[in-house]
Amino acid sequence: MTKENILLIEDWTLEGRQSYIDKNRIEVELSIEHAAEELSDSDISRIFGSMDEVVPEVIKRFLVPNLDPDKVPCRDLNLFSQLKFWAKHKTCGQSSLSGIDSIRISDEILTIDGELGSVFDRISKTLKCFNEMVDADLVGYWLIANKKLCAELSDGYTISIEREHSPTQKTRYKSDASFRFLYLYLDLGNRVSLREHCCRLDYEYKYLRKNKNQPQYVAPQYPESHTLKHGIRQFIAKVIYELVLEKDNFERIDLALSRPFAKKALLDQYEFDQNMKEAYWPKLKQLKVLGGNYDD
Amino acid sequence: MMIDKLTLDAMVQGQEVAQEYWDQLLREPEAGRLWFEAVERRKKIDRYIQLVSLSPQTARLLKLARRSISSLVDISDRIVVDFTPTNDPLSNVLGSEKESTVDRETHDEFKAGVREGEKEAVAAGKSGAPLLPMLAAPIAAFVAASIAASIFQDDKRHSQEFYQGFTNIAWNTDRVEEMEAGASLSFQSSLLKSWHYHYLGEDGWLRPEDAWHVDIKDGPVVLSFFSEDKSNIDWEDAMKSDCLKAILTIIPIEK
Repeated sequence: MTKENILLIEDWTLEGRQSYIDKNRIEVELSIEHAAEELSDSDISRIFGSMDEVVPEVIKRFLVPNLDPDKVPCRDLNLFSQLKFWAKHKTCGQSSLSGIDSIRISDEILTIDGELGSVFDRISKTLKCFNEMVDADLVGYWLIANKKLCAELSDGYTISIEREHSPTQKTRYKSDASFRFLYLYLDLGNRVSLREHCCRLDYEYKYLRKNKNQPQYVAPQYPESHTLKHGIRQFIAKVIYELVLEKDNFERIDLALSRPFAKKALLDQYEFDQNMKEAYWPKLKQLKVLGGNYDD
Repeated sequence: MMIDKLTLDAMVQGQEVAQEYWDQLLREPEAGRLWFEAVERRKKIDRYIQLVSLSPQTARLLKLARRSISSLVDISDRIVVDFTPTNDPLSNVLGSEKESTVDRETHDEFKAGVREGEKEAVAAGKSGAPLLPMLAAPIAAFVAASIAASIFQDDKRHSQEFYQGFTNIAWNTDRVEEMEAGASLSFQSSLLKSWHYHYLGEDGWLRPEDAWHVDIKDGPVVLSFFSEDKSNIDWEDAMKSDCLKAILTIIPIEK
């Protein structure tokens, strides 16, 4: 979730941070207290000792001599509500903190490389990557849309699928999330047939980039001309075309991951006109049939 | 073991956490629900911090109020929020074509009452002031939570997205919401007997049929709702009582 800066912390020297606390102590304390109340569970007491100790402990850690601004999740008042970071700071020491704020779209992120291990591992790694590139709600929609598949892969629990009627818009978001996920999972952007498409980067900029976590969950375009919008839609159509073309080479898991978006709702979400719907729904339908019953 | 709230909070913000937590999330039978709950918690934290930066005094007041709310009691009744977003106080209220279970005649009278109240407020140079007694007769019909779906039908698309999901307030809870200046809010619940406003050091009691006009000049406003008529005692004492309560804090923003 992208946020506006609130009471920016500008001077990261120890003196500067002490001055920030002196000037904004009430705001800092209220922020920590509220986060502790909202996130209250056994872990907070275990890590910080008790709820009463969260405020002094976080302030104490903010005032350590060598707090590295490149390793904090944000640089304003919101930092004090980041209790996972402070818990990690307390239990592991700052040296083990990773670059927690480094969310940038890049070809490196787009590429799922290395030894991928099991299907479960690969999905888990893709989901982590997915979360860095799309709004939080979409991850939730993906989890709901792929509940049955996750249950099967986990092999640790069984579920009874509740066939609830999804509101139209929710169905579209689940389809959209599942489509974007598969794009990452299969690393479609690096396929020759798609990589050189004139609107690939525009698609990735619009659909694989965090924004304000509000519908339609896309990054604002610059401004998005009718031509550009149409071009991105053509790219999406090309992705669907390629998926169908390669369906016979797909593993079962690929087809299962395709199932939640093999719906007319996907075409509605991407505002396909009637002609395009008539052309692409039969293609999606092939994925639907092959995808089995891996739907929410 | 269920994935902990601290970790989920970092995850929904797109922060780096170990791969094992993603494995754990995928193995959760209720992963989607847990995820959306974490998103909602983070939204609440973000909004509170926004409130803190705008008015620490109001944030402190809210903190005290929150402690008077028992979250253990789950009441099915909701305070339905009737929302009219516009900068024009007259056309706003009159422009609403909302249908509800409210008796049509009473509804018309209610709207007219709002108009008179607005006029008085504007005439007094206090367009941002709460709309004090606007309607002589109480709302006749009981309006249940089920009418919530009709609330946004007249709103513009951006407003619908802006206020997505905010249609009612559960008893024994609190929430902080950004509201565009110019919006008018009224609150309907069979259990609502009195409510209280607090902003910029000013406070006072309102009746169930009153409305609230969001004004940027007011700064953040804490509205407290009670299932009993507490208008004859101080807010602090009312908060200590054991009736049902709910709190809505409004952060006004420029349209």
